[in-house]
Amino acid sequence: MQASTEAQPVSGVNMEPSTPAQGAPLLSVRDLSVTFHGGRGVVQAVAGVSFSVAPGEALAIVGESGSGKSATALSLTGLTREAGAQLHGSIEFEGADLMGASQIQLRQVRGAGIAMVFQDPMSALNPVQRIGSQIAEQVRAHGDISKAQAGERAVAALQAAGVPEPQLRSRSYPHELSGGMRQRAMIAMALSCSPRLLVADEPTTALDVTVQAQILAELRRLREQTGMAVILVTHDLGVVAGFADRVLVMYAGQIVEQGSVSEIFADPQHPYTWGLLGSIADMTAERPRRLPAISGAPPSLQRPPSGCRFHPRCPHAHEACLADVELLSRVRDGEHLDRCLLEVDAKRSLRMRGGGIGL
Amino acid sequence: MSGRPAERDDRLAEGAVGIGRPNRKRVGADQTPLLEISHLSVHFPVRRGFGRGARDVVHALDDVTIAVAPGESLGIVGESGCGKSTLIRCAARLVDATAGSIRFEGSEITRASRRALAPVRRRMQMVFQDPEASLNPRRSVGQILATPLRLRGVERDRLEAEAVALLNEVGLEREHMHSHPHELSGGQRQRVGIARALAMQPRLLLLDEPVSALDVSVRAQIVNLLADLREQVAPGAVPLAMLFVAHDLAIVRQVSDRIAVMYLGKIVESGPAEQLCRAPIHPYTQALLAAVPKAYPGAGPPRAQLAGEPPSAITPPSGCRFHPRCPYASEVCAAVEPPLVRYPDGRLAACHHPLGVNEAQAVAAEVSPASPLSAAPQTHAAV
Repeated sequence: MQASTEAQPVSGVNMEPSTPAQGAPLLSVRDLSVTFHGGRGVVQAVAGVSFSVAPGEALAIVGESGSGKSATALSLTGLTREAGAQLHGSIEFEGADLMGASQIQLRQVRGAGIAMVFQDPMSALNPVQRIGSQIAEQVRAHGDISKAQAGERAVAALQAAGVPEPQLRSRSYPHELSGGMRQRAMIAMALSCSPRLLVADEPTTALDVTVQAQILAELRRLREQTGMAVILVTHDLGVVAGFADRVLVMYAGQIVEQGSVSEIFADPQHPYTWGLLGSIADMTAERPRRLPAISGAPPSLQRPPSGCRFHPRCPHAHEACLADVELLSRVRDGEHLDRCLLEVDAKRSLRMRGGGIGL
Repeated sequence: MSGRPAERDDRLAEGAVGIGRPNRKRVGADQTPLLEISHLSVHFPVRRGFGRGARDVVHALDDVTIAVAPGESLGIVGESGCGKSTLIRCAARLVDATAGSIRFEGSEITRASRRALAPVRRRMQMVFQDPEASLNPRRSVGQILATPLRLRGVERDRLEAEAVALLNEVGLEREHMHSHPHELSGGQRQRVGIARALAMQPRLLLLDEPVSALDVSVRAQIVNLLADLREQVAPGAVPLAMLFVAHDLAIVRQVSDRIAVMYLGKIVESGPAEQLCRAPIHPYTQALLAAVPKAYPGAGPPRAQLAGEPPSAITPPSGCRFHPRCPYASEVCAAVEPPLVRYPDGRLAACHHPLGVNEAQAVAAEVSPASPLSAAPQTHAAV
């Protein structure tokens, strides 16, 4: 694919990126908490999460179901604002406060500033509207542009997302496309307004591994071409390795470890991260008799465990783990933070399981 | 095609996928396969457009031959639409075969009646991909497990104890007896699905993408559970065989003794799990391996990435069905269907340009009895 020529139709669409000050983050989240009050009690899905994303950076948020990773991602564009939900903390995007923004202000940001790709394209796309017209609709919502031009923009976006025969496909309905093509159409829709930040929530979970590899390669290529930042939300650390610059590992609503992708894979500090790494079946190594899986299930967020929230499942837990553990830099001064009290040297031997890292 | 099963000979059993490296611990040398599928085809008629227009035929399964030995675990891997789920459903007789035969414990079940199938289904149980859809939301776990236990003839006063024993076997507790499916996590639900299948004390578990809908961390737990179930067989008890279907080669490798790779309704390669993953013969197997995410950074984009998606099963490509996507394809691939060839080390592959096969091996290779009948053997000699 001749990438450079294809990217042009989608870049430079309305809303010129406001050039942030040198070194300023594109997105800055401070102490975000999301609490849902429902019929079955109070659930704190996100409990004090802070992170930032630099322009053009690829950040992965990794965790199991119920870790709060999707709630964090959805909160960025106000999608967790609903009756019974309480949000605290601050979210700043390009210097503008999103936490206090009105729905009208948020609508300006959604799509054009921060675009989203969801896990299940079948339920995210309108089943009775042609793909091209769905994309064109979004383009027109964000700029004064004729129907014909918006249609062309849609076709260009489909082409940029690697959809073969984009002209023809833009006339298709979602059910006429395969799962992989539908996800490409979702990506095309997200790209159509040249967002500065793309939030992809489990974009490849419902897909075959072969198509997963294609979609990830596509996202990687688009990121390089357009310079947009990407937040990839996933339960699979395996897909993170070849994609992200930085990784947040979430557990029970908290960040338990964060660092660069090489720090997380080569020198993981939190036992939960070890467990996630051990769960990946490594094709390059000898087949282990058992995968070093994490036993048990994530805790209820109605009554999260005290202290280190992972301690009930952690084989290395001791008494000190019952008190709250801060997210601190423990390896050396730097950006690699974790919430585990064990000595760094002890961790390095404890995490070795049959030649690899595991819990 | 349908004439073939009558001509079954011993070579077929030997050449069939799944035999050859039976599980050492519990399989005798001269045991007949538990499940034997020969030259099985499933074609679905589909209507073209609206109304009573012309009919197309989806070739979901085209002349597939596999066998599962007692106690063995055979993995089937391939992309969506390759026919792997149809194969497993056909083995359970949830889908009817168009041609070919299915034998279970030596007896023909291809066209057996519902009544005749009842005892067979006790010994052959299925686990589905989505436990949320395959468990009755209005029944408690205890009730879900009681039905198969009663069918097995367990006395009423033993039901609860047996159900709790099953739960323990799959890593759940007595307290889950009164839970309903919606109160359980995805992994716990899949454990219930497995417990329900085990309640019948089957000899064969048919697992259709059992971990695809689960988190990676939970996948590892379920995969370990399956390994435990196969190992923890009491002395003298029936060994548990598995037919495991998935699209992810990394998972299939972890649970299988042998692997068969399917593409567009046909088997393109099969062999011992480790060997097949270490040195694939078929370019498609190589592509599936390349698609597995690398578990370390800096690996970059996967090499030899497979482009596009499988073509339509209504009008499959001529010759080798993989040739339009194959980096090694030549003229012969478009013209001639490669037969499934048995190499000296016992592996089977259907490819005109096999990878890592030297000349001596190629010469010694012979067409397997498991090869599709449409791939005429003499064409191979000419290539």
